[in-house]
Amino acid sequence: MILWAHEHQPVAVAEVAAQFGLDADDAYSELYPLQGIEVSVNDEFHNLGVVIEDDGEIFFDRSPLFGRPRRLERGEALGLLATANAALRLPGTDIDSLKTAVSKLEDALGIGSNLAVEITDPQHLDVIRRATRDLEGMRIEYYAQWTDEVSIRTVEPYETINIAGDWYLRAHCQLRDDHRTFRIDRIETVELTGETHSRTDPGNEPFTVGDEAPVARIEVPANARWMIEPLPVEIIEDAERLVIDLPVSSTVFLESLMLRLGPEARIVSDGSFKDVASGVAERLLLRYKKS
Amino acid sequence: MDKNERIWKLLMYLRAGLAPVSWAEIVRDTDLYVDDGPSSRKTFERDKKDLRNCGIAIHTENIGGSDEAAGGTRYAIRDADLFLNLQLSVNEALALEMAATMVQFDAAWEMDALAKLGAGALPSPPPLRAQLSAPEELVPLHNAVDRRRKISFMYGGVSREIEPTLVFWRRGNWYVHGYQNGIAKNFKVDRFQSDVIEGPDNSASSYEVPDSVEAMSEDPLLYGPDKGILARVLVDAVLARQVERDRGGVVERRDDGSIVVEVDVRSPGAFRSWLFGMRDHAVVLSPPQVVEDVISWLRALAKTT
Repeated sequence: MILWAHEHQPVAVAEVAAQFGLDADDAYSELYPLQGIEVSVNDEFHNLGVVIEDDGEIFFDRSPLFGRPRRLERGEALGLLATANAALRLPGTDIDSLKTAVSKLEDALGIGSNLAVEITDPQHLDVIRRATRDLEGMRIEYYAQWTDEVSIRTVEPYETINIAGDWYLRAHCQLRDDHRTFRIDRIETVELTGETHSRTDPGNEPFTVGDEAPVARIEVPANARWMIEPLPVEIIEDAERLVIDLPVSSTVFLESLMLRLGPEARIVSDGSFKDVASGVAERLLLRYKKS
Repeated sequence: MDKNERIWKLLMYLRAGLAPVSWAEIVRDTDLYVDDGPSSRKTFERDKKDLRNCGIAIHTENIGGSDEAAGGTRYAIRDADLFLNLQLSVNEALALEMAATMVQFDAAWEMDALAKLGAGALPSPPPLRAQLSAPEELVPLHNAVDRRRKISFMYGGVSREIEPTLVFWRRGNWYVHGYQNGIAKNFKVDRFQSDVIEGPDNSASSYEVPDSVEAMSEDPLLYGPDKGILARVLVDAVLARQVERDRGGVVERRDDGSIVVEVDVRSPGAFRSWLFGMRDHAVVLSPPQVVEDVISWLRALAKTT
């Protein structure tokens, strides 16, 4: 606790307690006695240099135990190296300083950066990053796979974020007058409007799947497991056969999934999704007859 | 004496000494343990374990000679065991802080590391950030690559022994690249079916470390044999720009905005997955065996209800 407190100054006993899942009074009674601890070595007295005020604020005097960076644990070391190396590929970083920092870190940690993080850099990422930083509106031409439509929208950016390898723009969409998320590699064109916005970011709601989405129960062939791994599915059976529940916000997506899974997959739930696979297959077969 | 107080005093005592000290010296020079009997010794062992669990390494060395203490151990906590010898310039520290706010592990490793390095919070969130998963296998895998250790784990229902050369993250997943019986392979970390068991240091052969792109092609359509079949695919105007940007290979442009792209088909499954991801927007034109394969797939699917 005391090391964490030193590294997170200014800090109060209540914050330390919250960090370690303790009652504030218990944390206080653990920390308070540390002020008086001292040990004599070769006639010199050493103490922790910690002072805990009556209001719970924790202060540190000079102490040979604190004030220098502690050694990092393995996860911390590789995490810092991996993030630094990954950031080298992103627009907007101080490349020269980061490179020398990575080199010094590798020397100090005594480990190599043999953990590669590939982060894609889609066509419009840099202009969207700058617009997000400057809160500047953009007109975008966007292909929405969910609806299979191309539209032109004016958006006011909140955040540019990479989740599970894909870049997304969270923004207020004037066309829908609502908070929307756009996958950046599906943005065809970007034009800055020159106007800034002052909206408050409402948070991550567009990434959460609504409870109201209907569910399709699908039996998936074992060799197609990889296709459902990235999807927000619930696995119902995973023994002799693999059965999943998939929330379906758009039949366009379900069509695409069933085409990819192929004839060995089956929608086993009754209802409106039952004929989705055969329907889309018949429709596509017509295209081959025409050509 | 309170346990907390005793551990802190032990830490300060072992760190402040000019030279490593023996158990007998600790008992003689401090009031931490009442005597050198087995009960006190047990307490000392527990205290050392607690310190190590807090990430504080205790240096040990054997006592030589032929006197009574010979064969025992001396202990010290050295600066090198406690502190990181890292001198960053202001710009380097800021660049690292910015990097760690832009690329984040869900285990917040990088933020814990920055806290230890004394970094403060940045005044505002960065205009872009990326989130990485932190599966528990990552630390032993990185260890193994760094120390050239063989690893073993269950994968696909089979026990594997691998000489790992690289751990990499691509499109939301971690992979380890390594050699099984001398053959280069990639393993998706999410699919590991057991803990990773590490062998001793330098137990793996020395292989050239590949670039992640060399380790596994970025294009899933190129997984499989070295030579494939060239297929021509018509993509309509809705997706033409996206396909051209992502894949290239345009061999024909039509007046309605559609394009024909040439694709090297090495894995029929990966090709179908790419093709059907575009649904009505793409049709295979040639060669006949690929067209027939797609039509057979669709006919079989059309019969399912």
